Amino acid sequence: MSPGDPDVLLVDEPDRAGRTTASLVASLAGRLAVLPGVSGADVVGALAAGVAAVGREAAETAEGRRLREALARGRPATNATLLWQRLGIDRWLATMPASPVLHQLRNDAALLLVDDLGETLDLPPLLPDRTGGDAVGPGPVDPLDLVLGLWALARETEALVEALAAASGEPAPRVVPGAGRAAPVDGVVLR
Amino acid sequence: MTEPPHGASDALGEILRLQQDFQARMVDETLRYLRRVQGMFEPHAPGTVLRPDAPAALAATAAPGGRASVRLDVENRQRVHTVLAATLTPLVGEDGTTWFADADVRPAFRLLAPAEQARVTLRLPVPADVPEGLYRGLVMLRGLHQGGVPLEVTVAVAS
Repeated sequence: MSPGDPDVLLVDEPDRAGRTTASLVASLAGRLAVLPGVSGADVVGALAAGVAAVGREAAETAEGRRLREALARGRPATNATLLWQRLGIDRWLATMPASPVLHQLRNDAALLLVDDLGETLDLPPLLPDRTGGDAVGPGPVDPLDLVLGLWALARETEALVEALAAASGEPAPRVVPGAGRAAPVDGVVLR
Repeated sequence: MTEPPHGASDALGEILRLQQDFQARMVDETLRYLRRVQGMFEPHAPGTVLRPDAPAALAATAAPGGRASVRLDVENRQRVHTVLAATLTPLVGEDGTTWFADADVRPAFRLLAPAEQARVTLRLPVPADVPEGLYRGLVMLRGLHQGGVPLEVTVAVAS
């Protein structure tokens, strides 16, 4: 489209480090650095709570709301609630801070398209900005939000990978010519 | 039917139950507090904020059984690629009618390069049974939950 006056601008968060190659590398490196210090259960719990947060946001849209209400009417809701309560998943996840999985996915994908990654990695590492007061505290996690979050995240992941491939140029051709049939060899031994 | 038992042993059992409940809650609250503190020191994931640049809401008019259409021009002012994925909230009429519009959003998903602009078109088939009136909602960009762009759809029979 031709440049004009946009209705909406997508900008950096105020009072925060903007989305640059250096800050995205720092965020990814920071996540990797804390991994050895946390248990697997904490990681799984924070990711699950993060996916549920994506589901809660998806439920605000018309499409997400219809899907959630359909799930809520049937057996998935009843059985999920039963599993949640009987296996203590509700108590466990209620103590977990939600990991910002969608932003992390988008930031990591954006790193695959930057043109100054090599130079940035050669520089002294930048300390990642800390979440601080923006941290989403632990709270109750509804099983249907987790289900809806999986749906939303799966769609996002699929679209993102396709967009990354499209950004890399022309798609690979559907038919690739072969090297040609091998010339017949005449000989008794090889027959 | 037997009477519920009374006595010192029942009181002791009740105290034990209360104590166990108290301890379980204390463990939960302690864990919640510790994880909240832990979360504050985790690396921040730099995000994107939607900043409306046009003062007016998006508006469209359509007849029941017809089709409404709106356009949204978006520009990425960040220094790296960002995702553009527009969605629509349910539309609520002045009489409280909620319309879960089956919007056709194009493009449904787009990676925007720095300084790149894109136009998103939302087409909303208006069901024949939607009562006439003004419906309000938001065009949201997925993942940017700090609000959206107000949308007003007027459903009116063509004169």
